[in-house]
Amino acid sequence: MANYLARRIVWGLVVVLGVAAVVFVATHLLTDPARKALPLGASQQQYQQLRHDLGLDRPLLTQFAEFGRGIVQFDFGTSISLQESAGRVVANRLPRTLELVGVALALALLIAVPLGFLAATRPGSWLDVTTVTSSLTGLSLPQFWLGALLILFFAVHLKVLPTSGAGGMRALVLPAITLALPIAGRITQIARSTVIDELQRQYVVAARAKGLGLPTILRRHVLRNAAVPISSYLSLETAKAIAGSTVVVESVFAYPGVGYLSVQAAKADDVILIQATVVIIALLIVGTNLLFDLFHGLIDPRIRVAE
Amino acid sequence: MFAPRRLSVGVITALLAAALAAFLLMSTSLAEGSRAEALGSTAAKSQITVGLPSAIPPFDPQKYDSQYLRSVTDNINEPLLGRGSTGKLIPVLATAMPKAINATTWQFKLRRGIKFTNGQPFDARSAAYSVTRIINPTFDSELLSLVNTIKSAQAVSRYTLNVKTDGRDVLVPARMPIIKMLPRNYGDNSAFLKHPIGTGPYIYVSGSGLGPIVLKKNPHYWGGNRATITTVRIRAIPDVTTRVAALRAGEVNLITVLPPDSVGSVPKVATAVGIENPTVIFNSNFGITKDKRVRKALNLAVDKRAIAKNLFNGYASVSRCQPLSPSAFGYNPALKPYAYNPSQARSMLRAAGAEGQSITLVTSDVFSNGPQLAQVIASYWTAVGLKVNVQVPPFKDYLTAFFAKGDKHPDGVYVSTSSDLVDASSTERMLSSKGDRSGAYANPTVDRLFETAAQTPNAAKRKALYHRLLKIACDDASVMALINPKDLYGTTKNLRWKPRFDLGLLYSTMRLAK
Repeated sequence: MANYLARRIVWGLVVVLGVAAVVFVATHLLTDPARKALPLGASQQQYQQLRHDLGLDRPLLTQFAEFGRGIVQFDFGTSISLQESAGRVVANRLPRTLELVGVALALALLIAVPLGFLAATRPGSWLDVTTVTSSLTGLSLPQFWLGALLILFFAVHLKVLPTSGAGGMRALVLPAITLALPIAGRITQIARSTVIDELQRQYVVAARAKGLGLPTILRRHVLRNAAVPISSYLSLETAKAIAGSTVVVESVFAYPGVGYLSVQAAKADDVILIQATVVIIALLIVGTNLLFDLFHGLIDPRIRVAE
Repeated sequence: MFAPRRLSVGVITALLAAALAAFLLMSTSLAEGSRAEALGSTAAKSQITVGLPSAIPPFDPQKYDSQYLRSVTDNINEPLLGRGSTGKLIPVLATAMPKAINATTWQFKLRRGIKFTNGQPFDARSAAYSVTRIINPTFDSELLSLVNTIKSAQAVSRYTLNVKTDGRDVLVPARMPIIKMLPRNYGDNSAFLKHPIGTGPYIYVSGSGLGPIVLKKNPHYWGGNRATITTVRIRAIPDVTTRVAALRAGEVNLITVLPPDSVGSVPKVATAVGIENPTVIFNSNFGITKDKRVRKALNLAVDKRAIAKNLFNGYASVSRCQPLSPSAFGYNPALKPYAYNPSQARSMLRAAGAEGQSITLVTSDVFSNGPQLAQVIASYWTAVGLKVNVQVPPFKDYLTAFFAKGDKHPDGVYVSTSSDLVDASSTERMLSSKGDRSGAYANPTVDRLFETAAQTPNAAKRKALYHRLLKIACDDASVMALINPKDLYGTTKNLRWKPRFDLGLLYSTMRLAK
């Protein structure tokens, strides 16, 4: 196990360094924070002065070496647009995003797993058809549209929830639902098809022959076997949520997490902040994947042995 | 297949429904208590909440050129000279307009007995510190290009300040509203970025970035106790649909940057003639646009009235053949826009041998409506027989095109420009051939008029010079000035406020009706 962990950590760091290299090259090729910061009327001299003061006129290799050293020390430099340590800015925003993603995933599981299981036990029934249709609808809805619709209904018409912002459970509800519904749609489908497969296995037939009822079979046997594919898919959804979906959801709801921070950084061509955000998110995703893999090993001994 | 007992299906479904209901109920019951707090700021008659489209930069009004930052710092930090709601220069911390005591020195007399909210006195030493700070090239102010003719500032006596320029600069008074006064040496303190201190009618309390940023009325404001709004909360709500929803839900009293097509969704709309001027700059020296007939034809081919009506829902006026808004000093009200006349445009293109030729128009998506306007212009130009190539490159490449010289400058470059000094001198960037400009037009008479105006302290004479050069540029069709979009704000019905010409939000001028 220790060897496995060590290998995974080393490879994870290699991935993060690769991501860091790609984002460094991309931001330096595509952005010009000095030009972006200055008005059109600024002189060439002022532009060159600002580039010099930001350290952007140094050779790229020198800048990359400094960036690499900074990653090791968790010092990404000072954000150009916010004039604060970029690492600290990202770290301050991260808990909000993790809270949002955590609540959304919990909500998605709460909806998807029971529905998927139920639908799988009644294939072809009205419940199954409704579940499949609802799950397809959920995952097809564009999140910016869904978020706007929820705001209109709950915040503007019913006036029971806030339109935007952060602070407490009430501010989490609408963004969490917006993030959760597409995830719930996909997990419902995974759960349903996994349980249908499991219910056709020999061990289920044997359990039934022994006289066990369906709820007991589902709880004691099927759930555990279905947990691995569901959990595998969940790890993918977690990564997508942290690195992608939260950008849209946090922007729609003005939720102060890392997703919206990355939009701010991109708009300002703030290369330091962009690099810090991407690298920290990459570290988080690598760590999350590792945790999920360990969880899979816990619930399925065959995975443990194979690794 | 197995036949599940109805009871288990029913139980599981009921449990699921109960869990979801509990989640929503818990959240909404918590909402009831806190909603009063959230709406308190709009319900209470002396508090307002403002929704902006972007997060607020760090609180340094001398470093960052951001209208969102100004929505906070304009209420905390004051300049020696400011601008009234229509753009006229007025003394604020100075007692009167400055005097030019020689060709390169302007003298300001300052108000006495004013203190910053940290107790430090406002005097000539703090004024000199403030001016010296922003003009320091190593400070890297985004506003430096607007104040870099100023070389130094000295406190001559406790309440007299001399500002020296590099050569004669008649625009020093116009530059002073940009320079906000700071407590001496406080600007060198890193705490300043998180806690602004000024002499203004409001005091910073808390918050940053996305907000809410809280300001409270300054009870010791030197200008008196006229402000009726005691607490201001400023929040960033980037998505326009959410921002409009927040206004409709009563969470905010005022939202800015309201798109024209959302006007029908808000309780009340406030408008002001804006300072933005969408303009196409032609390459008057090379290529298809070198011929004046072609440039005139390009102007005649575009129905600017239809653009104002359809793209801006009528919340825009057609520009009078100059890339300047009516509030700017030197604006020539006598000029008339090129009237929409596609058949005349076609004839002129034919006469110039340009019919069927290709023309390139470069724009950028950093300008609101930039790509859309470019496409609309392209459709008009296509209709009169040109092949139009619209390019929307990354901003870095757009700037390369904008500042390109000679034949490297595209045939047309779209820009949405505003005059930060509220003065026709800002059109030099487009109409002069000197310096770091969009160097596409070179008329020696216009160049000479700009130089003369820069040396003419008499306001009436300077205005006449500006009028003349703008007329020449209009006759030369050096640019295609399109429209002056209005600035649109959504407000609650009970907010009484007249917007300024420059997107400034001064909360002391707002009040909530009873």
